[in-house]
Amino acid sequence: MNMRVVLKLLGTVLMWESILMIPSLIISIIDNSYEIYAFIISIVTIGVIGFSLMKIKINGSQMRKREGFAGVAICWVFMSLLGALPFYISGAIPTYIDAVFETVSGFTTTGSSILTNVEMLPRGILFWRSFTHWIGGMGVLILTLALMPSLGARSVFLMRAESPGPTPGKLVPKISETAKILYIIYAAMTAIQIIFLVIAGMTIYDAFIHAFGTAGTGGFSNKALSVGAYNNPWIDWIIAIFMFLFGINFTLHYLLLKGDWKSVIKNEELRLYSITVLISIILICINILPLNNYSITESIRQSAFQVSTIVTTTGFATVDFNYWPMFSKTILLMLMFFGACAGSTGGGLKFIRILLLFKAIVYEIKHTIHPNSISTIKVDGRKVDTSTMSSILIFFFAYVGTMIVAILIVSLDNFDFMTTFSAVLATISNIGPGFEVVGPMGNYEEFSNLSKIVLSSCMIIGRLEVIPIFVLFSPTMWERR
Amino acid sequence: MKIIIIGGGKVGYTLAQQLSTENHDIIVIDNDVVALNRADETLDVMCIKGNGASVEVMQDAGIDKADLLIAVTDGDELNMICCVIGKKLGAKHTVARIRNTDYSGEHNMLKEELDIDMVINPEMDAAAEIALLLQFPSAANVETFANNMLEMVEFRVLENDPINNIKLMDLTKKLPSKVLFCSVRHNNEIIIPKGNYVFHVDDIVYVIGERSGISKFFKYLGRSSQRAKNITIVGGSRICIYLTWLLTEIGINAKIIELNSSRCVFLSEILPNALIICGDGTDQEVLNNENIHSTDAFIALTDRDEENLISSIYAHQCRVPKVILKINRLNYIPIVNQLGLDSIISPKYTAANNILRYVRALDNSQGSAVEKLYKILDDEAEVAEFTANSSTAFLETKLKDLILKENVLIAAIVRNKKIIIPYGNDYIKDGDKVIVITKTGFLSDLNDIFVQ
Repeated sequence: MNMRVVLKLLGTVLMWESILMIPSLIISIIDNSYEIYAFIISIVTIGVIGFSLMKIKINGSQMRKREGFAGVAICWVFMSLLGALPFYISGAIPTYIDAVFETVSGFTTTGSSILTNVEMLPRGILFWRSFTHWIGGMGVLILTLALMPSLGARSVFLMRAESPGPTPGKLVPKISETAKILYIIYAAMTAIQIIFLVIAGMTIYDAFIHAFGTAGTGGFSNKALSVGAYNNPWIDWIIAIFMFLFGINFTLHYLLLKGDWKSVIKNEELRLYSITVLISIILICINILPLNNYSITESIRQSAFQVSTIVTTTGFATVDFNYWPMFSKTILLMLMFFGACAGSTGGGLKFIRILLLFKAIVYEIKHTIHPNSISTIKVDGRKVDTSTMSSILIFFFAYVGTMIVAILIVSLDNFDFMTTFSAVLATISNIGPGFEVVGPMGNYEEFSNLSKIVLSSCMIIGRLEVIPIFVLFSPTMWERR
Repeated sequence: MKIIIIGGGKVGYTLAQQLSTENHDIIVIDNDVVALNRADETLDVMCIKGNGASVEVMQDAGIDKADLLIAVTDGDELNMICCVIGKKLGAKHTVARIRNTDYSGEHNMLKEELDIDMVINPEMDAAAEIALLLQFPSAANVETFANNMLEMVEFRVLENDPINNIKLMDLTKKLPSKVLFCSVRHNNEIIIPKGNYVFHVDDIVYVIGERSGISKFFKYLGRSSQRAKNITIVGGSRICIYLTWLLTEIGINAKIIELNSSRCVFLSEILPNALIICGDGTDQEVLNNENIHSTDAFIALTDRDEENLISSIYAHQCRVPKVILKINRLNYIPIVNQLGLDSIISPKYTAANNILRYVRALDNSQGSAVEKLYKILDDEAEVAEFTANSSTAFLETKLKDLILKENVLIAAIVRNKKIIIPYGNDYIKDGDKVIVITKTGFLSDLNDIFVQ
């Protein structure tokens, strides 16, 4: 690996990170609150590190696949370590590990929190906490690609490493244009949601916080009761629908903008996603009817919001689903595995992989019955390469393997099984809340430092879809050249 | 511009590489996953897998909004079909590679009837390039500008040359004809030489001028500007056929050595004026028997780079005045240059270059005032053609009163179809075509070349 190339990339990313802290600084200046200096110190520190790394000369070396993948992983790790500075310096989160956990949770759009009382924190800090969702949702490297096209043609590896899904593709021939289009759609949808939320009665500041949480499918709220605090059906529905929209592949949003309805409707992943969401909403709605005194509107509102928040891996909450019947909880647990669509801001396994894994099973059954039969696995009428298929299988195993190891370590804290299991699942799938102790109204504060580090790692591994982080552990990676 | 390239082979890849760095939107269509992956991972282009002649694939690529369609697959017929369908579906311009000798006489007809804007035949272009080289045997490479009125030749400074160790400004007074030293490659660095530049041995010098002027200049250098009369070609490939046709027209005798006897029969059929020898061109015995020592030029055109190289090295040793060889793998050109072989032909590169020129001309005629743009010296310098008009700020001012920007050179002025190689007392008039050489940077207007 050529470290110069990677460090230069890291420098660029850190420079943008320090620039992206400025809005939070402005808010804290408006409030004249105690965290102003924390932001100034952080912005200057990160900016100086970033700027000096950017000055590294790379002598014409080009980015190869290994530098691309390792670079993205290293950028995410350092971005999180340094992004925690405002929390730590201001004293909002007194221990550094907790601050890093909160930042990782923000950037990876997980939304797991160690904060017990959010509402007492200053607005600048909370804004930064939610803004990390928005940056991490679409990806900070894609933002860099959009703003600095000079990174060159090889930067396609950066996009592949950072975008979720088995085969991230371009929308238009130029990668920087693709990145720009993605961010424009992303920003426009966020803006529309903010307007809707304000109309529905939120204050502008709260609308920003919740729109960031929705857009990145993160789930940080500035209220202890999350979205439930507003107890406003309009707000519930707006957020539920926008969560669903942000969980769709952005390529489809682009096609829709171009007026290509046909491809969007025919898209198999979108169909599976919509049908799964619809059936889950109906089943849970029926299952929780008795809890809501048989009020269908109330049940459907709760069910739709919870299904949407879990399937898109956002993690907002309007009710504590810990008190729901086992059947509903199991459906939610299943949805936690699935995650959103490839190419969206959501986490998890992604529906396209589930779809292909199912197709692989059908293929295998068919092949067992007719050993000499030849058939191909297709999605949207296109053949899926065997290499793509095997990478999905490997990804699935690596994902489950990581989970098992993480569960083993977290179990040292001696929580009940549901807490331990769902905490790992909720972090690796970037959801946020799990069940029992880490449920929607609970938090991760009680875990030991070791578990917090493991869970933070899970979040980054889940967000970058395993491989970029794992390549860092290959010894040959660190050899020169 | 939005450009669709069908075929991701060597030519397609080279084109995609160049054009994507020039800020065009490139879409590459190919059936071969390996070729597409290579393009996808190393270039900023979009790749689509599929048959480029299929309407569905073309529409997928957005043919209706494409400014240019370039078909460079292996099949001539496929390329033609691609262009025809592409045009029908809304592509503004089309370029097809057609290289079968059977169609070589029909390019104009194809252009008109099939509405293809440019037909490119790499082998024929390579043959033309070789023919040009044979007319200036002492030059390593020749390029032509301004409708072939102006030529730029490349040569290496030798120990005994009268220009060795002489300052450029002293040299200009001695020269027998008006030529312009437009650039020098000294220790792998491109220099646009000024009056105080001193020439060294092994500098690669580029001189621009009219054909007659350059001939006189070479005579002054003491190099034979004698045209080759008898040449030996090894390898009866397509280039060989085109080349022999061209050479017969200008009265040069060709001797062709080809290994495959049935190919020899075919060659003798279509090249009645050439002497066909059936034998191994890499075998010294065969070459000696054919009296390689007395041939005026030796051209190696087999399909294998290694064979071309070996037989060329032998010819070079036998002191054949002019050795030209075909190399397909571009990376090896610097290594070959070190062996003293400067005249290298690469048909695929030539083809890509010609298409690039077409695209650049197309691009520039849409926008800025540059009329034609040629990239030279491995893209390190460019030659731009402008037409002076009333908006030009310095009309009728003597050039010596104007200060040129760094690394800019006025190579020639074309007035009433006559070439003027400009010196200090010359000036630019309204309607003149001005040919400018620059090292780097982007010239968009004629006014940009002077310090205001």
